[in-house]
Amino acid sequence: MNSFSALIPLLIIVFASLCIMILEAFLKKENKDYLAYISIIFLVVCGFFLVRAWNKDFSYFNGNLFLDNLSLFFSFIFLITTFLVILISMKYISLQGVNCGEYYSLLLLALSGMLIMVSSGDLLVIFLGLEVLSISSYSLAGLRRKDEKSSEAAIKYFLLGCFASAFLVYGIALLYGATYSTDIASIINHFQSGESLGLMALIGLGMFVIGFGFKIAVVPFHMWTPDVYEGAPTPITAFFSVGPKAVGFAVLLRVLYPYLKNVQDSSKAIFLLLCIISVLTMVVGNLIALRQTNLKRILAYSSIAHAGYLLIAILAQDNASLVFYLTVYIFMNIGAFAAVIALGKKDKEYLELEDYAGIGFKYPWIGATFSVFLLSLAGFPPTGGFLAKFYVFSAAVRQDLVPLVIIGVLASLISVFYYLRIIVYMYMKEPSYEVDINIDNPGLFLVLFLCLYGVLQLGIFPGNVLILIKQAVTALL
Amino acid sequence: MAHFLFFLLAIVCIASVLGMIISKNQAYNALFLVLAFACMGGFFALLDAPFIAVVQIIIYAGAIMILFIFVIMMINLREGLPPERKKWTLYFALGIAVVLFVELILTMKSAFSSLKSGGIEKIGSPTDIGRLLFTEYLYPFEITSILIIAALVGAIVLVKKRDKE
Amino acid sequence: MIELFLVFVIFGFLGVLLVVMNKLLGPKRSNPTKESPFECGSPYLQDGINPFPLKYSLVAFLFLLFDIEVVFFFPWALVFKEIGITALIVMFAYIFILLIGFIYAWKKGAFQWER
Repeated sequence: MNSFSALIPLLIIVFASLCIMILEAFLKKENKDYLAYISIIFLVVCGFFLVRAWNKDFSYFNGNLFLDNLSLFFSFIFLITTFLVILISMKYISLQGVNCGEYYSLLLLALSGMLIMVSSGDLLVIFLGLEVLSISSYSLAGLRRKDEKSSEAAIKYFLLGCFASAFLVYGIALLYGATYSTDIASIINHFQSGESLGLMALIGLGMFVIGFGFKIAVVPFHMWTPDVYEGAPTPITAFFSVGPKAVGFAVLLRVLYPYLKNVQDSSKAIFLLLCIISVLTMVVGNLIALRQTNLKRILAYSSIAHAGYLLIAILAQDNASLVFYLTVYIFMNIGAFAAVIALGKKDKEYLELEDYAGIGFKYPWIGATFSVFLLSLAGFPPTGGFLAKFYVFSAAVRQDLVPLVIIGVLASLISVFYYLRIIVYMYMKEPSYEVDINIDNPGLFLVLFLCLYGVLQLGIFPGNVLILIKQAVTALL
Repeated sequence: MAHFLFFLLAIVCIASVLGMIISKNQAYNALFLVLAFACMGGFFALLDAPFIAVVQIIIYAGAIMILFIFVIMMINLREGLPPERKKWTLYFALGIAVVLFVELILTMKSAFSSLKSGGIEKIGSPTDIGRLLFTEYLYPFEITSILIIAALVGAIVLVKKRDKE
Repeated sequence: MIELFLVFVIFGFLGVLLVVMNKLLGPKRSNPTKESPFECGSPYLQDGINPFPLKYSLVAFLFLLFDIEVVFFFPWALVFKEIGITALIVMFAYIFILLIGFIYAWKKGAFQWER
């Protein structure tokens, strides 16, 4: 249905971001804490409109912008992500000296980029959305200007991000050259009609996948991830590890699912490419994580490894399990980062493994919730992480991808080691020095609680969410 | 007339590119590049593509060059590469140049053959672009404003001094 | 067409002539001191091009952004009559967003010289 309502959620977020920019410029220093609350209010309003649009299939701008159930579901997930990230940032940015209103403004702009990406079927629009997301992310990564590592992260992210964008644009250009369209549906139609599209279209699609491979950090294209994750402010790292990754998978799902499903002859090459990337990602990500001692780097490599499992879901062509995995992943990863952020005080963060010795008894709430998130990341029942992996692997078995599943299971066995090592440090090591932290941080504890609820709810009673996801993915058929 | 202009522009363009490569002074390099870009703008105008000509001059000769000059000014490029790396660079550049040359010849061959068969289709008039931009591609157009604002905020927040904290 | 051609020839010739005439007619006396950049006779202290602080780049960057914005006005002006009131609304929305950015940049002192 062609209606202006399709534009409203995006408009609200952009308007919120502009408001915060203006307020930041005009407000006095001591009033800046309110900016977080203002952005949360806008997020809630936007969420309200998203929920109302469910099942309505609004579209606008000649179908360049559409809100089918899948984009609504993803948009809602991104809203939750941003909401959680804002909550964990509130105290952090004043403690770590990045207290400026632009923080929220850029975060909301990044969110608007993600909304643009998931709610369009046109590669040109998707690319523009990706650039909005990326440019905001580059600046967010460099916000801790006193810290050299943060600037390094920003410049590294910027250079490699530009490189990836160039790949992506080149891919889109080749696809356009081969099919005379930037619309995903008609590109797939061209592929399907079996006219000799030749090498050009295939290379275009390959470059498209590689460009997004950078964004979702899969293995040959993952080099930037650990450094950027380490240097960026920690809440922003949490955002990077879920936001761009989830949106990348959402777009890949839109492009690759109909492609792999409908195009028989030429899809073998892309399928093989994805298989190789997936195996490399799982194995390399998990193996390198074993040797890390910095918590942010461990979580960075763990997020790389998770991209590998998610790729299996794409290969198995099981959309519901992919979306479910992403939903669970957002809660458990943001939860884990929230626990890492909790261990900090004025101008100091505790990020080394040694710092975590004895935390489990000294701060039982942080220790317990962090353990649950780590177990979920490793894939233990009864957490959401177990169910997510279970759905993905069983879908893969149904599609006769048994070798991939075996590698996946072995890789997650490796991952258990480094996740459990953190828990062992927290509960079984004697602390050799004092770690005192600022625990006056209600927003962060709210996030820990919400994520704990999310992980357990999705792990024990996933029924309602699964029904919603099933409704959402029908949009693809 | 068009032929005369073409050859004039071509000579100036090639001369300025040569000057850019030969000149050792980076500021001159940049200025030569501006000249080359401006000549390219002229080419596009000759090809009946005024919009691209304008964009070429405003964006390339204006905006992109500013970035070039700033990079030149910000980084000290006085010391050249060490000789062993220079040699390696030379071979690499030669290889790429050969590939580019072959590619150009192939492209030209196919371009001439298609010219014979079809003739030139008039595209890229500013009116056509405007019509497309403000009807069919309205949504991407509006997104660019969000993109520009994100870049603006990012630049200011990273470069500008903050109040004392 | 022929007038345009003549204009190009005449003014091109004039320009070249003025440059070359100086070389041809003027006396040629030079010594190393005369060739060096002017610095009151003393040996010059530093090169003309120096690395300079990042804050200048902000000016360049803002110019770049608003420069790109201007490019879109050109096709807009050409199709304005055809599309009418819609074009006005579309451009106002575009300008509004950038105006907010402009106000923000101004208030933040991006156009002010920083010491």
